[in-house]
Amino acid sequence: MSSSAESEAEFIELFNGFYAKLYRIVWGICGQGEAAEEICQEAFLRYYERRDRLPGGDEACYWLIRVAKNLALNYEKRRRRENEVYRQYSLQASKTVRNDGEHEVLADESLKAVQKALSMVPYKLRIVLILKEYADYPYSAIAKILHITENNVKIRVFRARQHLIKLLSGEELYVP
Amino acid sequence: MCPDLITLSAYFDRELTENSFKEVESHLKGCSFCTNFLSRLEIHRTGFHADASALCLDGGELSKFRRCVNRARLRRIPSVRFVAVPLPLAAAVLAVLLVLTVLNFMPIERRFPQSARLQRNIYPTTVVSLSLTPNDVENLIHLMEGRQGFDGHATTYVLPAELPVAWLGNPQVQNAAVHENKP
Repeated sequence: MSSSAESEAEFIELFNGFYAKLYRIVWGICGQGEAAEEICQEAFLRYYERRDRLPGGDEACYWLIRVAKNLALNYEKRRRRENEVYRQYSLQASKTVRNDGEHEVLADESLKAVQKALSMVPYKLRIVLILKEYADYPYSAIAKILHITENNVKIRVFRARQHLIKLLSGEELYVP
Repeated sequence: MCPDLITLSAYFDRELTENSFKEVESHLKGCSFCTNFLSRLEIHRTGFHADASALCLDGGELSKFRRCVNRARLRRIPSVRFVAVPLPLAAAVLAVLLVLTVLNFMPIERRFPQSARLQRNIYPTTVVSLSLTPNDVENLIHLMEGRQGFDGHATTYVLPAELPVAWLGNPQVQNAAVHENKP
């Protein structure tokens, strides 16, 4: 097999294996399905165009997360300038929630509460928690992605959780 | 004594060393405060997991990505970027000119078949042929001059049957010279 065909095959493997995780992370940051999809596509496009010069494996995933994180952050900054009413509408309209029958309403309410609380956590803390909870990365990987120390990750995760506890203290979350 | 909350949070994420993990675990057996804290974290985690699993992907992401790559490639070709507007515009102008040229060289009956048929109906073609020798013309003029009246009225001449001319209707000839010579 030629090197370009190998590189293409590696990329497809990376795409198929990592897209869903990256999508969850980006969705956790920006909270909007369509935007998350666009950001993921753009991040993969940037990787695809530079794939010969970029590392593969886990490092590729970390690189993609960093790019997607920055794109999502830019998107969030743009959106923050928009009308708050429109933002709420788009949050509800774009999210695809699976219909699981009788508990749908309760679960949907809980999801909204979690998403809303998460969006109110400061960005520096939120991104750490998203990488932990949505992507299930260990502290060491999060430290590599964000270029911070593991101890810093530990502290930020805790602080993010403190924020969440405060924000969700009045909410009754549905636990299936 | 309770471990600090940062350590509890790390315990929850299974990020402690083995010894620290065991210490916290043994502490938790008799501490409701720490257990409550951890159960709150567990509830949040369940919410996050439910939140993440509720996100559905339609499975066509790779094909969407392929389209995205193709669009990006087209966008980044400089020549395409520079001719993206002028080229279609020039093509449209050429197409219009071509149509006009073809119409110009097409017979009018083909362009407007209905109106061409109407014109034929209104103006039927009639061909009249007339042949006179110079002597015949001279004889005719001589005859007409010889029969001029001086009463000022128009005179209708009847041509002799022997003249080799085709009959075109009822020609009326007014002779202006009659008025000039009238007393």
